[in-house]
Amino acid sequence: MSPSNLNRRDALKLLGAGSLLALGGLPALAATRGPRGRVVVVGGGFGGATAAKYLRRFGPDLEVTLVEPSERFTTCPFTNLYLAGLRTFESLGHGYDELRDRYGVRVVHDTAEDVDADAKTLRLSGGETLEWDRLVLSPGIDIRWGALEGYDEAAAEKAPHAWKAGPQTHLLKRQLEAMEDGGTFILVAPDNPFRCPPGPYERVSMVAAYFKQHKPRSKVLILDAKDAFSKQGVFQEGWREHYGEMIEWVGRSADGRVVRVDADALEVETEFGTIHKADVLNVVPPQQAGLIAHRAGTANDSGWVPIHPRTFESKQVPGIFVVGDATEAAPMPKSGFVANNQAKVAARAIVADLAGEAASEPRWANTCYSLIAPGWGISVANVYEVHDGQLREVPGSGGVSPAGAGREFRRREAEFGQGWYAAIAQDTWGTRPGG
Amino acid sequence: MNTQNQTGKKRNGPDAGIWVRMVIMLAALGVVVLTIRTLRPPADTEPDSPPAPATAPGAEEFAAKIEVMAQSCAACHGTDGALHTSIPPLAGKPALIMQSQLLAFREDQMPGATVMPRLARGYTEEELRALARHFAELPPGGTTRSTP
Repeated sequence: MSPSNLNRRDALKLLGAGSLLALGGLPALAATRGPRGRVVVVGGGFGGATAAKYLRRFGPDLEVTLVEPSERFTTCPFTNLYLAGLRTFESLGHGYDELRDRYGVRVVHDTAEDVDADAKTLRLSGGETLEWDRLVLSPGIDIRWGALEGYDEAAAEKAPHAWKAGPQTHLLKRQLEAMEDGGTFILVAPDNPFRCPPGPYERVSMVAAYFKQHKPRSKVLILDAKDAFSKQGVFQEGWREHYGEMIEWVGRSADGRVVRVDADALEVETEFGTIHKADVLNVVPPQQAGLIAHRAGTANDSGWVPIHPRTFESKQVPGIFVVGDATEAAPMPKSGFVANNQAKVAARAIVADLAGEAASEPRWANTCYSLIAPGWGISVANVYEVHDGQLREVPGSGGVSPAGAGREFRRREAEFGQGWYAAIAQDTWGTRPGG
Repeated sequence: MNTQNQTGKKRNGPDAGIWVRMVIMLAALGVVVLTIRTLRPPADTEPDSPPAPATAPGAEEFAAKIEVMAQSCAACHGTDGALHTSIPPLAGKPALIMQSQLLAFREDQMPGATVMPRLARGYTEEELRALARHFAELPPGGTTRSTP
């Protein structure tokens, strides 16, 4: 299939799908169409799927290929609700039909094996080699096996991380269900940076919600490598309100930092030699950028990918754009929302780049909802900009849900959290609410 | 206790909350309408007014910036702001109403508001007005139509 055939066919498809105004946004952009070129996107999560869709929205003449091994992607967000029995696992899965059928993205279910940045090719495990003019990597995180003593892949089969949605999530749920009432659940929380800063604290909230209903004599202990965490005040307020003394948090300076894991004994040892014994042990281990970011030469010694903040083009390999959890983009958190927003800015920058134009001044938003109990939600929201070549929060913007805001405020934020999930799943994969 | 007072203040009954919000919104709308009438050329106040002429310095750049910025909102409001959930859609709503709401969020004049004041403070008034115009021009329910 020649590129021009593909473009003409897809252009007709796009016209059929709705007005160009609705799909392309700016009338001016739609009228002038846009540059031609081949863009390959690796990873079908929040960052990659959004990049593929918005590349076609901003650049209807681009040939876009998305490489993702799974035919259905399960989000990490809301897996904690699955653990509490508030969502089915299936409701967290999303396919690629809309990207393929409505946006004309070629979707290849294969694994990206290696990148040749000079030849501008991507080799897939199945043997195919894709040529690209610009490459987008959205590989998410990999676990740094062995970075925490005793925590390797075999250990994770006994003490799950459940920090990637899939078999690990099911394993943790089975262990929680098999635990006797009166048992102890221990969550080991890592130092920054890591995927989903409020995630460990929502996880213990949802485990406590399950215990409160089914195993009310059980305990929840968080051993933390940090002395502070995301939305800490409103998390702890909600824990007291809903779970009394059930949840105990031990920060780093109170000897909360775990230095060794014994997965067979379900024991962990802290910095100053305290041994804690769990009935269910959930270790959220140190992380790094996904493997393909390293293979492509975009990651540095920290294990993460430095990027040019205006465009999210790799600082180390020109022509490769990296978005999502794999990037070094502090103060932006490693969240699905941020990955979605970064992907849009990168998609627009790639279209501008291929057209020989300058990228526009970007702004990114983030809103992260966490559920503490059914009907009791909290949030953090921020807007980010580039200032003197660095990413920063827009001064005066952003913040966490207010302390002591009351039941009605928390109920509405729990509801908005549900709305957020439906919206970002629609925006990223085209999933229809309830469909 | 301070927190008790705060809680009590925010915990109006749902009916009271809606009335307070409506009254304040209408008041804010009035202020915005007056402000816009006095400060801006009338053509700019129409929701379906043409985009600013490309000859104006920086106009194209500003439009491109708004176009990308507006896509951020989709992560909660759906693609092109057209999704109905517990979070309201934006597409096709009157620009003036959205402008008054966004500016009221920015000034913390929307009782009971949750994340929007924190987000609205990340944008200038000019950007918020342009974002409202952007969504006003999009077809309501555009992305919830069945796909071909």
